[in-house]
Amino acid sequence: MSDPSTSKPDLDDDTNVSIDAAAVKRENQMFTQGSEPISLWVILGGALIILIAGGVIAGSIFDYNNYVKPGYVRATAPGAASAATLPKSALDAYLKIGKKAYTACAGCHQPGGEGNAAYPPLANSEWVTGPSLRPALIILNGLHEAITVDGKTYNANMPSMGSGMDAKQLAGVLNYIRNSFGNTSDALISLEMAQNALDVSKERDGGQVTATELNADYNIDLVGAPLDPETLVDPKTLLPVESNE
Amino acid sequence: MSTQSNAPTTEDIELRSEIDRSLRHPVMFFFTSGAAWLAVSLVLGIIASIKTHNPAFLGEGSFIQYGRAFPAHINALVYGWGAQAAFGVMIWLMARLSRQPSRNAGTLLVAGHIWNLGVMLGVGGIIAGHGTGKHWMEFPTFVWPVLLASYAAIAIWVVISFRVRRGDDEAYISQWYILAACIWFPWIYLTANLYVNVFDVHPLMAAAINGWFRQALVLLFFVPIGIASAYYITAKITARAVYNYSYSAGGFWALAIIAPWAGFHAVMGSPIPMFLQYTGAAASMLAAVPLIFAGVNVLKTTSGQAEVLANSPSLRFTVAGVFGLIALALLGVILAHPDAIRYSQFSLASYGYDVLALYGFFSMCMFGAIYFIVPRVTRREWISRRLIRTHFWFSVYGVLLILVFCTLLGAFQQGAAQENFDQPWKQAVKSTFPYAVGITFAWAAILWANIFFFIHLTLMWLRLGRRSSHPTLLRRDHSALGPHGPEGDIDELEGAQA
Repeated sequence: MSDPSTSKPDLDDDTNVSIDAAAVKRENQMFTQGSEPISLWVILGGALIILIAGGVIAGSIFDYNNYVKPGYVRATAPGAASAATLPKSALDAYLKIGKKAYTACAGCHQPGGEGNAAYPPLANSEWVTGPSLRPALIILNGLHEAITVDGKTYNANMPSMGSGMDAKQLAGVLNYIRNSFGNTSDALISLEMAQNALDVSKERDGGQVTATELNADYNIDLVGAPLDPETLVDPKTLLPVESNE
Repeated sequence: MSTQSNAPTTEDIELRSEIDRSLRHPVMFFFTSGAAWLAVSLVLGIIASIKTHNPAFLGEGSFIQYGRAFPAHINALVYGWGAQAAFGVMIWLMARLSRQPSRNAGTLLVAGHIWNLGVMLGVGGIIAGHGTGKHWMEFPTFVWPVLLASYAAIAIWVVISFRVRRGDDEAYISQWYILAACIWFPWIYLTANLYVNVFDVHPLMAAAINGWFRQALVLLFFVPIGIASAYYITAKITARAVYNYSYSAGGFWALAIIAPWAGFHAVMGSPIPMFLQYTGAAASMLAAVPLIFAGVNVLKTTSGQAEVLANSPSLRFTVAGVFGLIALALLGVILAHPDAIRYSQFSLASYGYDVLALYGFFSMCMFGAIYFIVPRVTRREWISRRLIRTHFWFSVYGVLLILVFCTLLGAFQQGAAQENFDQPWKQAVKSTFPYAVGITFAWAAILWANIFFFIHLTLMWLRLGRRSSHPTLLRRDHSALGPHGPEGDIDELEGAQA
């Protein structure tokens, strides 16, 4: 112990511990290891909390229907393009429209385009895959008298399908029959080319066409720039769009 | 109860005063600068709160609008006051319990100054408009490595003083909590900052991680430090053994296992993995169990000690803080339940939870520890019991006001009004008006309390405390000669002995 009679006003190095560090001197010793029982209600309260929290896990995580509504469809973000108008490839967009329009044709030419005894097939038909003005005019005006397809002559009568048909639908149907049933074409009929077909048909201004007339006057391709099947187009307008991805 | 003697031996007294002397500068620095940041934070909090019900207050200057005043307030509260009070208590308590004087007061002081510099840059950055907008991480991004580095320089000495502890008896529960908090803080802080500020994480996930960060900082840093302090102060002042020691150890491990899962429910309903949201909610509720067990354990230790409780400022603040801890646990159960989140998620509730955690529980425990530690490291007694009483009662009023009127009533009122689709949104804002005014009043009460605390603490730091062998108790002693009696004056004692 240091000298107890120090009367230094400050409390630095030679501090008199027994008097000066009064707070330390009166301090209690620590006891730590008590083992008295915790009351029952605390344990029960803890158990209740565990029960409720367990219910949150069990009732929520493992119950899919609790947090996903049936028939849930993701909402479109405000300002973003809706999923229905996201650009897609020209082939898909045209085929989708064409397939819908083809239901009018399937009654005679059959859903698979194979035709039957009375009506000529579209599959593997030079009239379909050949110069593109001929099939366009057949669709717009109908066809009568004999026509030879794939070495076989048919004498059926096809009515005009052109009433109310616009370039989009015509292009869709043409692209559908030229790219389905095993048929393939390198380039798609564009809207510009379909419009050309409508113009030619209007200029001609007659009834149903015949195979002879087609071969004589219209054995050519439609005028206009064809479309690469991979071009991205807007599925509504079918116009090419800039990819934003 | 135990029949051991309470009287310390002379060797014990000398060792304790040696430890206290070795740490007086860093400890007083952390406490005093922390109290200064607390006052700054409270002023900013009042400004932010007034802005919510009276936007024209203090004019149009952009630096003082809610969007800057509020984050500056909460970050100054967390990093300026909360962390620094924790540092002071951590280093002192660990040194005392490990019975080793510190030999690194200089390093601690330098690191403490760097920490303060970081907080100052951060708060200034927020006020100047460079805040990041991420809750509790609003400091400009260059600040967090500074804080982490200075934290490492502080906390490493806490770990080392535990490693070189004297005596081979088992470590006390407070040491467990402090050591764990020491290790958990850098884990939480580094992880959250890396994922939110550095790595290219999806912004939604970053928001979820931010929610986890806030909950983890409360449950894995502030809660352990507060509990460690409470276990120490109550056992020390009442001279009784911890009521049930095995439960305190069990509570520690339960907290360590449960708490890291909590927090993701902050973004409940958003397209992050569902299990994160629901385990987050469940863990936040489960964390109530170790918190309540620790709280009950501490309260049981003090039971039957009404006289000590009435007299000792340390014990009174600590017990009030422990009631705050139990309230925090129960509030966690209510607010984190998925049925309540609908109302509480976008209302005042989470702010009320933060305030209860940081002030109602943590700060009250820290005040208790500070009222205990400061007379020992300065060797002066607190100057005025009236200042302490003002500090205590206005703190309690402020916390109760925030808890009852703003966190519970206001939050659910606001949440329900927001859910009401028949009424315009403005109606929901209007319905919170009285509660916003209530928050202002609560902060004003707490500011009033802490202005006196700061002045008191600064006077103690300047060594202007009473030289007496009698502690400053909250009740008047039986002396006709004065509030502290003649027998306690050290100069007189020395004169008599000379």
